Amino acid sequence: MGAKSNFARAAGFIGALLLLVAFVRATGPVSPAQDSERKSYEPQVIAAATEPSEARDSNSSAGASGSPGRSVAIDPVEHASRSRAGYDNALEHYKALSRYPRGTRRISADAFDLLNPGARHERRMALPNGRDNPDRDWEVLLTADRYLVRGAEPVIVSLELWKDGKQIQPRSVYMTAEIQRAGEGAGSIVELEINRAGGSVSAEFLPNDYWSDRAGAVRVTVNFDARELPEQSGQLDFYFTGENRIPARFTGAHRDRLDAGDLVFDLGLSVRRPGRYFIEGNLYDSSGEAFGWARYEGDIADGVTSVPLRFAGLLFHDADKAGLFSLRQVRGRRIQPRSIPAREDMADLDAEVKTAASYRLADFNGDENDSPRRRRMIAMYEDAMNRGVELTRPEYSDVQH
Amino acid sequence: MNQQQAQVISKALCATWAILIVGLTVSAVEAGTIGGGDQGRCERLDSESTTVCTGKGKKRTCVTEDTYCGGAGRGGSCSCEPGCESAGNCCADYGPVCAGDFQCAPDSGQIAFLHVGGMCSTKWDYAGDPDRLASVAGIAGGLAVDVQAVQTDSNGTQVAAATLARYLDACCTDSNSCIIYNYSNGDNVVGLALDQLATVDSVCTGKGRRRVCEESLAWNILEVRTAAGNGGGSELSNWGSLADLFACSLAPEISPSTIRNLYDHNNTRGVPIYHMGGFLDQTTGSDDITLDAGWWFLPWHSDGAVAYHSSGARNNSVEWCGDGNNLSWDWDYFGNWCTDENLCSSNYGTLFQGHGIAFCSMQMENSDHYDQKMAYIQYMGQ
Repeated sequence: MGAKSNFARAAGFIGALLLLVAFVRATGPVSPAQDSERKSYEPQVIAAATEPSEARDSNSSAGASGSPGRSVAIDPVEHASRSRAGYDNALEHYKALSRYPRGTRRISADAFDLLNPGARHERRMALPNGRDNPDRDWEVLLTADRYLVRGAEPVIVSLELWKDGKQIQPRSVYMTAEIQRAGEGAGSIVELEINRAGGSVSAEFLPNDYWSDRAGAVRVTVNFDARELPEQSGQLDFYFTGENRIPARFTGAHRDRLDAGDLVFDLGLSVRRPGRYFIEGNLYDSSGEAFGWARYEGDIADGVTSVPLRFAGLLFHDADKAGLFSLRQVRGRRIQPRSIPAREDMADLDAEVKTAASYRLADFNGDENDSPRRRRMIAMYEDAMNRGVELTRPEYSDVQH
Repeated sequence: MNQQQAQVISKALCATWAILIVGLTVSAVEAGTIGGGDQGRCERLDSESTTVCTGKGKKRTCVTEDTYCGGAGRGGSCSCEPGCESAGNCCADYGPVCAGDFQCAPDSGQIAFLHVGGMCSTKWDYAGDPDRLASVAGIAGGLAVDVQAVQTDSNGTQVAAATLARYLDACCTDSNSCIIYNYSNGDNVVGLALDQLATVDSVCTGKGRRRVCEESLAWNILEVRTAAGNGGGSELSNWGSLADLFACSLAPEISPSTIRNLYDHNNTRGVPIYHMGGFLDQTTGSDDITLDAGWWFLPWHSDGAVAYHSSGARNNSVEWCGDGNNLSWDWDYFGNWCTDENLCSSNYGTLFQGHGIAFCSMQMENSDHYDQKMAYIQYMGQ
């Protein structure tokens, strides 16, 4: 099991601890509050219905689907009486989600992924010792400075290693990068030059030097070892769009206008590769607070053109925003979702787009989306409930306004 | 003492009791693997297609194949030919992709409960396992559909999303509506389909200059029910030896950075997506040796395959109790333990927009990744 690699080192003092623990647990100073809390922690999952090891034969794909090894005990009374921080049911949630027309959403400062497009998510973690044993003495962080790499942008891959919480230098490090071919695995392999500084090892890499005509996932494989640490192998992916595959560029031209009570930014584009595009941006008020997101989604022909990024008027009423606004994190990509690679990224618009005019709240349309689609879906929810469908009553939901 | 150390002691204590009692020594046992390897398929991505042209001059016509139907499946291990059913060698997705069999009746007022399995799977309900489709016995016009989509090769998420889109076009448009159950990487199959593969209708109103057309989702999806979702990715994917525990080529492709950048998780197109997720208890771990191994490499709250930030649909990979933070002494577990384990707590970050948690609190403590597959169905009762 997971603790098996620790048995040997733990065994020495465990025996002595056993009697102590048994004594403490029987007579220890457990407060009523602790006791109450612990009762609420009683697991709801009960005994296994089947032996998972038998149910999940590694030679069948049954286990792959993740069959449950247990059934779940449910207390309907307790379930029904729980307090609700979410919407009453999925219908009410749907109404909130469809409050704006498609393409506009309200956001706030905690919309991490929208405000930090292309962020990475590696973390310091235990190293495998063999195939599945964790070695708690050793920890590693293998990451890079970005996920999306476009054109001549460099990517910096870094490796840090700790033993017993103390950072140490890996002894030998070998890094390679290879771009994944469409459905065919790896392509050409490039060895990366290693730099050592302080406790970390890094490699700066310019994929465009090798794959300027390509787009796709690039996988960096890192092999390393250290004294008393057998060789390890980790991998890190990023997404690269070569200079010659960048499908379009923002020209920097822009204007803002009102259209039917919505705020529209017309953004200039020079399009090299026609196709279906997503163009997105985040809207900020004059104090620098993010409050809106919009996407243009549609086909664009090649040549110089402009695309409208539309923020529904109701967004401004809900957020109580007027005055000057600015558009930031403007990004775009050409998508081919049924293909590998599925996207070609544009370089971000490297400037803040400020409105030329100051807008009054009264300029904006305060009407809620009342499209035929929305009315039809609400009727479908009601029909489903009448026919016996129990909609989820979420206990915790996002709140947009 | 940090959490992992506390667990080492707790687990070691339990194990040592057993050792003392039976007088055996414990030797290292390698975890098994999960999944039956890469499966063939009839679904075909555009980038895998070839264009065949016939004729000359004005009579020249070109056809681009969007399936492998009529020949060998992708991978060559199964068939997409019409006779495959009698031969018993059809690819798992032959029915929906080649035979047009979606187990539903289009535009018939049905309410279809679609079921999308997880990584390395080709369907939801496997014979001999305790998993099953949701019961729709009490629902007029209800039916349960097992989505046969292949999530095994390195492009498995995209492939399965393309197959799911076929089901959604057939079962969830016009007068039909749907509820989608999904599990594990099915979270990404559904999310990718909604963000990037959605079929849209153009509905126009008004006349002349006042005529306004709106593109709207053609799929009538009432809600999505996700158990142990992998929408935030799994840290196990970053290390080859760990990804190998899951025996299909999709395993190295679902790291948090990759999955979180694969599509806009917030773009549900108005469809509410609900989640439930769990974590392994610190004293007992998982009864599955692979998940028990996986637990040690993941953030504190994990089910052995995915962490809270993933199953809890958070827009950042936050772990409240990581790196020795936010711990307090717990006599019951004889170690420091996390002060907040509620999947609905804002301590675990902000939800993706359009997402919610169906069940909060501690329902899924001591629940591993497999335990949770049926949990949502069991909680809802349908």
